Amino acid sequence: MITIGIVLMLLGGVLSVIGALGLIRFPDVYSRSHAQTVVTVGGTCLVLIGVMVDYFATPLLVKCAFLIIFIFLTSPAGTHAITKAAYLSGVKPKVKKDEWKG
Amino acid sequence: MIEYVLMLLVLAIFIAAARAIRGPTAPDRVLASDTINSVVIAVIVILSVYYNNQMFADVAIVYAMISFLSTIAISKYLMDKPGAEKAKVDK
Repeated sequence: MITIGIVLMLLGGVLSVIGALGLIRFPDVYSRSHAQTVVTVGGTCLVLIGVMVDYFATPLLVKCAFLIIFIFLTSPAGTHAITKAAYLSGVKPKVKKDEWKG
Repeated sequence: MIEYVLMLLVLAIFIAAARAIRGPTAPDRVLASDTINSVVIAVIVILSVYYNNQMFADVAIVYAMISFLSTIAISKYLMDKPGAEKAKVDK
């Protein structure tokens, strides 16, 4: 039986695969961080929203809501820390003009 | 139907693990392992629905906290390495 939550979970799984393929295909670490955001926000949070829709009247609703809020708070901070560490440790971005360097 | 979601998520984990193995620089590997962590959170929640056991969701919450901590710690370590070009940016 197909419900709305199952459709959302399948969409989240497809977005996870698409983001992982972007992680393979993009040229350098700064554009791969974009694909990592697709996996985190598009994939994981959509799967959690699907679980919330299907199991509405259970304690799983509160736990999934807490997980979504926590992921939305921590994922940008983690990605920003990784890319700043990459720049400071000497990974050159593949662009024509490096605007941070000046 | 929920097994197909698990299959897609495990496929995403394997593709991201290929980048973690092959990645040319250290931040690539950290980024790929962060991706795997966020997919594993979804896998744990799906397993909690599949086995009809509420306790697995608590494991997912703790896993999210520890994965964020590990990402920040490894980034801080990479930032403070001796070869890091710190003076060029902080001028």
